[in-house]
Amino acid sequence: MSVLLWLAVALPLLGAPVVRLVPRTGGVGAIVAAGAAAVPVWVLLAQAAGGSTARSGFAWLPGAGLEVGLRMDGLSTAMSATVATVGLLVVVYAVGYFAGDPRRPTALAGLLAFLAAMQGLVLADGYLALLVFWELVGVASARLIAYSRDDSAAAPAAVRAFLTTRSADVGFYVAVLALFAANGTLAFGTDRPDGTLGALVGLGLVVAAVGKSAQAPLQSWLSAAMAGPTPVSALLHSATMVAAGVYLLMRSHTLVAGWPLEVAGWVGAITAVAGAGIALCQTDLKRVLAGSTTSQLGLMFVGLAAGGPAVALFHLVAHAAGKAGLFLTAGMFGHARDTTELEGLRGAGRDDRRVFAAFALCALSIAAVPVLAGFWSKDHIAAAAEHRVAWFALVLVAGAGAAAYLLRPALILWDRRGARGEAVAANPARSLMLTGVGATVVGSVLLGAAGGPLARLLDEPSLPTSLISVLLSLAAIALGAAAVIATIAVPAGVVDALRRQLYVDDVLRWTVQRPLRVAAVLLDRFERRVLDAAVDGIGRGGLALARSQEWIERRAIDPSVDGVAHAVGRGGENLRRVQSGHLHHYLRDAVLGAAALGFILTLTALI
Amino acid sequence: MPWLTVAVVVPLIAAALCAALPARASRLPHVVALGATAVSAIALVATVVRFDTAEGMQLVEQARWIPSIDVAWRLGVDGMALVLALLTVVLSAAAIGYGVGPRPMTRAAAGLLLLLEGSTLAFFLAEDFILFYVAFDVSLVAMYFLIALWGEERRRYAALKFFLYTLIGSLPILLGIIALFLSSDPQTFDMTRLATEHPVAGGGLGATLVFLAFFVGFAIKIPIVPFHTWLPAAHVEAPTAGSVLLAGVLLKMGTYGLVRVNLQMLPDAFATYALPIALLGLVSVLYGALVALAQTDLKRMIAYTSVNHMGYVVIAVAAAAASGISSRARELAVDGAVLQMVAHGLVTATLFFLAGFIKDRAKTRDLGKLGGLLRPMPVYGSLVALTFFASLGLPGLAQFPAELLIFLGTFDVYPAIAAVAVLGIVITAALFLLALQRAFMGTTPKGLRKLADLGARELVAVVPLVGLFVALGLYPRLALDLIRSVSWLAGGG
Repeated sequence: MSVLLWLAVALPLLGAPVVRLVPRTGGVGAIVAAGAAAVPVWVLLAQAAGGSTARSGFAWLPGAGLEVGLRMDGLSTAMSATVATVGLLVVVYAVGYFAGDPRRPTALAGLLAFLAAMQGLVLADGYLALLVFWELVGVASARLIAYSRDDSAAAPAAVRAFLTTRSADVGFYVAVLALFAANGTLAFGTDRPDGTLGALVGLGLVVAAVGKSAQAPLQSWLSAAMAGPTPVSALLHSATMVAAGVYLLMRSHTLVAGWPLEVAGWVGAITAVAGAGIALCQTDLKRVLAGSTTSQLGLMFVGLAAGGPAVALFHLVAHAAGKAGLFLTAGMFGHARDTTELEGLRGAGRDDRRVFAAFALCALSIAAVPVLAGFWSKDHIAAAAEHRVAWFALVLVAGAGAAAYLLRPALILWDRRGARGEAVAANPARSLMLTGVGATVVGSVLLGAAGGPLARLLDEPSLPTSLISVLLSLAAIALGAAAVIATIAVPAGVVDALRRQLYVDDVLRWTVQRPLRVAAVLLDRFERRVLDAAVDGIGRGGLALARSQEWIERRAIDPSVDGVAHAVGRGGENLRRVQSGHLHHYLRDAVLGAAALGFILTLTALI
Repeated sequence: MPWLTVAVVVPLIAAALCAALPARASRLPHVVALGATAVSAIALVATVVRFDTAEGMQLVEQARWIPSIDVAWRLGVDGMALVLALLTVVLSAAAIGYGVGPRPMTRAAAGLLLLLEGSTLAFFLAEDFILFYVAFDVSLVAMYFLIALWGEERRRYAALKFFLYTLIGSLPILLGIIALFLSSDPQTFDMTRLATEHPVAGGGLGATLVFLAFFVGFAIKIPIVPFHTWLPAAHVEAPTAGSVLLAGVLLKMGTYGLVRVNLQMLPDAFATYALPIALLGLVSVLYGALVALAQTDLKRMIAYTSVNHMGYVVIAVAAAAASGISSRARELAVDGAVLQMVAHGLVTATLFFLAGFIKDRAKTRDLGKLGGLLRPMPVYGSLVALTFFASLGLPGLAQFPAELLIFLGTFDVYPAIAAVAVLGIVITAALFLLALQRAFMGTTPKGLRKLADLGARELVAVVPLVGLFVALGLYPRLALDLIRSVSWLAGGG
């Protein structure tokens, strides 16, 4: 079994350079690699469903007794299967999407490398391996966001995504340090230590999860990351990478239990509503979907805090299928119209009804309309949150928002006025893309049945349900949809604020980026004008007698020769003296002799 | 076979041989230099084979020199000395292979590079304090000439500044050495004995002064803020291979001394002053990272990241000094510090090579004038990206395990300092990513579109270094299993 674990990571990892360096393998090579990688994963899932677990690792930092290893259990295999499956269908889609792009091998290799890192993340055994893959996923995703060379926003977006998540990763590092200090191990499944160390562990993990899952106030990098190609958005920014934050908290359930999880629940509930608002006010379809993703991930945080890992996992899986489908269809509309701006897409759905049908089904699932997958998974979140009035209310608002922000683009896509009435030409690339889309639709329809099995996989007997919450949720959805149909106007100021990510970016720019930049510039000036000038001043004073370059060089070389003689001579001299004297005599002489030492003494006195 | 002596002496003999070669231009000096380095490398590999990881200082080679004051030709290795000697020979091979100055390399250039290699190897392998001191100063002379003769415009200023500053730093080291000698009984310059006998025990005035004398000398060399201003000047003006050895090898002499002398020979005094020194290390971490963020010259930026990375080593050594002998924290911190020396040596050497390559082509290292380099130079761009990520501590590359060990070890002793030091990894991530964005991504300015990608000579210089820091990142035990024998002596036995 341990071979299967390593294969799950190794197959996509090996596929990446092959696809990149041997472009003749083309799309087939990438599909084979992604497909082959899914095989061991599904075998592992089947075994985990049978109740077996396994782990495999090797000593990596022997002094700390730390291993790097992989594990197979219910949670890791469920996540791994999600990643592998979405990964495979996105790769299939991408082969068609990038057809005709000379840099397709680069894109496909990037997707495979990302899949390897992500598999490592979800299969990691212990926080050391998890941290390793966590960071690698960050780099792999930044590379994919930066793919476009024509879009000047791509590189800055990639840098921003990496830096935002890495800033939050400070929490991960601190949590790891505190956990190790308290427990002497970084294994999964320990209880939270007491006192400050325990607080650092809990809070650190939550901060890291907030950054990776684009939760408020660190949500805006996800919107910027839409500069990446659409298949990348479908894989990273809906189904897998951003889900890593939720996974971290599910995995660390025992470590964050109590108030840290409470914090995560609040962050999630607030993000669920804020993300919905942001999604509602975007003018670009991909950014609508990005806002939706932060909102849905927020719901997973609530589900985790209120109902436990199985509730969050179910929504994660159902959302992965639906949201991947939305992005993939958005990419097809984008191909047809050369833009993902909503105005440019007006009527695109009428021109390509099959794709629109897929879009609509996935949207209905994300909007939690019965009896699609998202309905079942969100139902458990609402039911779990029922005993927390504030969270429950926010979940309902987010539900209304989801109906609204998905209905709005659907209406625009279906708008008769923008339709061009051109028939869509069938070609192999389109077939590949439709295959990927079709699979997500199947998932969006059928995954509603996955709740029970997933709960059993995590050893939870059942998921919370409640008729009241179902009824209230449905009412909220109807309300959200009605608001869009009635085109209830939102004040321009609110729209502007939501488009600008509620000014979080501006706040971060003025509280973090600018001060850091100013500090850097000021210190650099201090460095040049004070510190270095002082050193040069001393040097110049000492060399005031220097008349020519030659003279300086002679002086510069000689002392080292003198130094050697000095060392030996001084040693002998002192030997003689000390044979008749004492140590403190020598020390006194040494202090008197070395002015530098006196200087240092004062310096340390100051310290 | 006295392998350690062979490793040290062959480059020195070859240096003398180069001086004796005829003056006309030929490839001979280059060949001699590479041959001597190969012999050194073989001798060190033979040492690794014989090395027993369960022992501390071992394989000592001794020859009488000045018996009346117990000065001797003493060489020996523990894990730390061995990995740093290996690092030295690897980087020397890369620097010599790449060359300094006009091509074919002159006998002066080859001779000075060999002199530098031999003296730095002698420094790391020395178990006699006089040899240690002489090697320290000889390496200064060699580096002075490398900068002054083949550097850029302000080379004489930078070389002199480097030389005087570190030379002044070596004077208190000499005083400290003499003080240790005088207080040992029977008096000796044998470093192994001084490390086990602790002639200056306790934290009294005498011990404090001796401790500070060594500390200042090494602090200049490392360099620790505020003694670092010679570093950017020297790096910017030095020829590429000079920068490589300066950052890769010479800075490690400072941190090596801090462990070998301050930590092992003066543990009580170090324990007394551990907190202020850890704070100085923290200042170096943050100050180096922030000032690096403000730079536009690629070489200057890399130079300041060295201040940042060496700051982690200082923090770790201070934490080790503050924690009890044979505590887990001490072991982790020392492991991490030494691994960081090796990792930083490989990574930063590669960075300086890469900075030199672009200056050769674009005639500038100004990040504001470079742009979109990934397009004309994909191989170069990928190597830069990989090395930048190594330097910002990405897992899978060598500095991650080193910094993680340092954080783990330090957190036990100074949790607040460790937690703040972690912030350094965000600032370095920012500066490297922004540099990558400015110089490598986006559109390529007209003047840079025809730049040629790396040639064979350049690839031969950097690819082995990249391979090593990747290998160490994937499997740090390649070095850690050797390094760990230093922890035995870290407490002084």
